Amino acid sequence: MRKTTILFLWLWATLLLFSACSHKSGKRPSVRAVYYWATQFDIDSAKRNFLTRHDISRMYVRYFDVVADRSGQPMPNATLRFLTLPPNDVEIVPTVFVMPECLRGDNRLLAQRIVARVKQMNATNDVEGVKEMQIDCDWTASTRHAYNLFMAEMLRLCHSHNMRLSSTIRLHQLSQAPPPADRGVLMMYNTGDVANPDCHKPILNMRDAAPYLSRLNDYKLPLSTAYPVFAWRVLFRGRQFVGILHSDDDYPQLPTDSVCLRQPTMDDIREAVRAVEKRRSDANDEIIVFDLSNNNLKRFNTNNYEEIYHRGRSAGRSSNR
Amino acid sequence: MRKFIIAAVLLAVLPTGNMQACVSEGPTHNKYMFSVFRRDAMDGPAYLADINQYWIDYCKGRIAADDYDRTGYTFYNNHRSEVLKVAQTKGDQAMTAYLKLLNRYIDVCDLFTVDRWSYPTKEQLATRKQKALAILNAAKAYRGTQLRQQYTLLQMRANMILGYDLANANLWNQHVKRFGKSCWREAMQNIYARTLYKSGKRLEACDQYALTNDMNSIKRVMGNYRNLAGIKSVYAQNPNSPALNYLVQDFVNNVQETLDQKPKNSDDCEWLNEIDAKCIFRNEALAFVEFAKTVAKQGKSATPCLWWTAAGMTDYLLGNQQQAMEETEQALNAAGTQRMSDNARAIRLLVTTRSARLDDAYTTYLLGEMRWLDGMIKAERSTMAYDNHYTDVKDRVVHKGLEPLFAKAGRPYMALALCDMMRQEESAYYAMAYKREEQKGYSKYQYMRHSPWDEVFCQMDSMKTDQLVGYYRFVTSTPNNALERYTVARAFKDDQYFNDLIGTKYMAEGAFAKAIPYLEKLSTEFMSNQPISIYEAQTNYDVVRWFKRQPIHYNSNEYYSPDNEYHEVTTNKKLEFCKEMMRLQSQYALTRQGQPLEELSYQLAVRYFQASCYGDCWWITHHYKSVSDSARSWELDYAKQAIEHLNLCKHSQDEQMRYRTLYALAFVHAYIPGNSWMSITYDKDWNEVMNYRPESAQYKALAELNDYATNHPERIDEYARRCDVLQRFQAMNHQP
Repeated sequence: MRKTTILFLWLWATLLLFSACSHKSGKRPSVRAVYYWATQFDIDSAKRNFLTRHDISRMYVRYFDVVADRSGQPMPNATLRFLTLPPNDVEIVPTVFVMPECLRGDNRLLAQRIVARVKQMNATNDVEGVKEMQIDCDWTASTRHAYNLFMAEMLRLCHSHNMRLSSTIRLHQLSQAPPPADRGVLMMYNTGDVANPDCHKPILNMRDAAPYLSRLNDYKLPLSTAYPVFAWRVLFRGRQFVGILHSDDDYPQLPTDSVCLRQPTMDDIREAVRAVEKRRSDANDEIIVFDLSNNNLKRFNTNNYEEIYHRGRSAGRSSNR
Repeated sequence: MRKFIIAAVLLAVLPTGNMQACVSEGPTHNKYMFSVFRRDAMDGPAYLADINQYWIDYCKGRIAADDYDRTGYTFYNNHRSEVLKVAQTKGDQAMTAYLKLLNRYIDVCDLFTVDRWSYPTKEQLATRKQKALAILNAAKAYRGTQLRQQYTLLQMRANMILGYDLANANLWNQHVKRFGKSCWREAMQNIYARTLYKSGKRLEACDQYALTNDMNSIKRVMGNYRNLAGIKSVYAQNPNSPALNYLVQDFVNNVQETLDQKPKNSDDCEWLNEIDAKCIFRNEALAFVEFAKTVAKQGKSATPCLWWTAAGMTDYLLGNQQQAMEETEQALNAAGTQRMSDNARAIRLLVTTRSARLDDAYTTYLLGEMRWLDGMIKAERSTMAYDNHYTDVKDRVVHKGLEPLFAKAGRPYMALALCDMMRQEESAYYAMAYKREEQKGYSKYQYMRHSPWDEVFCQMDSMKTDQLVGYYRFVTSTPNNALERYTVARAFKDDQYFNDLIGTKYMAEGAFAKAIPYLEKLSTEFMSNQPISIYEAQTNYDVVRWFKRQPIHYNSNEYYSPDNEYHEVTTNKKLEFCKEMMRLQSQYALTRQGQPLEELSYQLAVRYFQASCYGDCWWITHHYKSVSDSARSWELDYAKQAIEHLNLCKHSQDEQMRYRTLYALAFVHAYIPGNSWMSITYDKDWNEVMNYRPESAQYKALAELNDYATNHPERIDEYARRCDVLQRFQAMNHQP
């Protein structure tokens, strides 16, 4: 009886261990990444700690925007200023945000300029080991053709410089054919209408995102996914949307105005990670947090971030701050 | 003229009646009235103009400043090495040393402003920094007093490109703000404003920008405050914030722009955004008036004049005339800067024009205000450009206020003279300012206007001839009323121009005898320098239009070349036409029926059609041509006259005459609106669909011609056989 008991316990323990192992290692661990979306590159101790604590191995850094100047010519704008060196052990993916109206002109020249500028920024600011570039553009059906031509040239240039090219993919863009790129990053945010006072979750609401996800499995481009950890303070005058407050005095505020905080909860993010996992788990092989800033780091705790990077599975005690 | 014809062709798409001579959108005259800043401030910080003037004055007598130097504030940049030589020649060692350092600074700045796509290398960044530091140290090392402000400015500029914003804030607070008022100090204040903005002190930055009259920076910094909420919010923080001057001015002018552009709602504001204006709708404008009045009465603002004027102008724009009168009256007596008081006075003037009675007291007041505006125009002018804020005020007051006021009072000549006065003031200014340097080789007559885009010409062209004669008499008279004397003294009254205009209009009315005395006075120089001269020189009214087109040969392949607009005219063809028509009409009246009468009738038809708006010699009766032309109601319908004369000949016993006439009628009717034998529409696949109109005059004329051609093929010449219209008509009737 004792032997039987011991054998049973051993079998139970073995099964438990097997079960636990299969649960944890049934999927490859995700590549952990962040977006850095600011005009100054400044990796202070808080950010450095975050990168170390969470084993962040890739950082998508916004280098500059491309906007149309007064004469309609595409021009770089809000170029990133490097105040600190990039961390040695983190791969940098230079990212360029391109306004769709800039695609009307000479796309080949635009691609050449962007690649040359990114390479020079790397060289000047000691950004080494760059293997990939990313283009972020809110293209639509009407600008898709121009974007594809531009990306085809970008792809050719990146490959000729031994770099890969990725493209951000907004949820609404899932319904279109993928652009020429080596891979894409699905943006799981900005799902609702921020100007609508009744839309309490404009950043991430699975009810809004779900209809787009039906196309995820068939989307013919390798994907990673970016999840939001940012918040918006939205100013309303009555029920009239005034704007998003990036600082207290961005807009005039009257005593009768209301400022509404819009931010995803951990449950929202968890739900989103799981929804992607269920439909296309390889899209979570790399999980990117948008974006790395001290305010956002404070918004969730370490366990929350670990849970996100663990494909939405609990990695310890979780709570919203 | 050729370019005009193209423009005129475009007009064809516009619906035109036969009452309106000109079809022109014309200028709107909706100039901004509200201005409590120098106009220069709208293009850049006002101190730039002062610094520019400083260098012009420093080099006076040695370097001549042209208009580009003045308007772009680029005198120094355009003449860097020359200014240095001037300093050296003057033996001004302190200035020479300063200029060398300034030039080094400008060179460093140039490194920063190269192609924005070209990101600097590490070496370039290091070189820039090294050079900027050297300039900073050299500027700091200055121990003199004469150029202390200039050197301190250089120090702040070097700090700025090095990113040493804190150093600049300290420099301002510890030293510069105690400097005496100067353009250099304002430039430093502007850099300090930038420092404040970068450190998140938006409103403080804006106040500093406002103090340096830098509207563009305020627009950038306060972009989200350009509305009533913004004004209320700033006022709550500081009722005397200099930023309020800008925000209030911007608000009132945006109310005006919104009313002009008429967007339906906030989603319809694309154009206003494009021109950097903001949509302000009626409810917000009305709420602003209430707020402005409250502020003006509250006593917290040191400049209630600003607020009363803003309320008054907004009410004026919204059509609340009584309130506008009361508020602008308050503004005149309220405290404010001199500029604000001037602004109140100008707006008060505009407001009065909507409801005033034109009695002696009012015209005396108007004359005083006109003279005051003339003085302000002169005082405000800093470049060779005509336009400044007070030319805008006068333009709007005259065109939007006084013209309708005088017209409504039954004084159309005065209304037109006022309109012309504004045009002439600008022309006269440029003629004087440029001493006609650019006009060498051109006749003065080439600057006379005959374009439907010119509102004065348009009005004169729309008048009956006797009215134009009355107007000419008015502007060449010496009226009793002082305001009228002031106006006519500034109106255009060249005798050749008016003789031509009156003579031509009499001809258009068919009053040949009345036209002759005017046309006789025209010189060939005048005629050669009219835009119609190229047509006048190359077309003749006795050529039979339906058998021969007279093409125009242009002198230059360049479309807009003046060579294509003017041509030497050696004879007075208008006068000759006039006399010939009188002779033919006289013979016609005396001739009885038969071949001589038919021949006269045919000759008259040829001339009437050529001189009609459809003929090659349209210039006989008009000064411009449009494809949508038709005879105006007060004119003799030349084409109709031609048809009547042709109808008289079409039953001629002379077969040749009969053929020519039938052909002519088929041809002429094609030009008359509504007479065409068919029209073309398109089916759902955009295939042409011919719609034949048997009831039309041209259809009937073609039918007669076709009958004649069928019955008398031997009498039809090759010209008619090749006529494509006739061929299509025959095809439609299944004829060979």
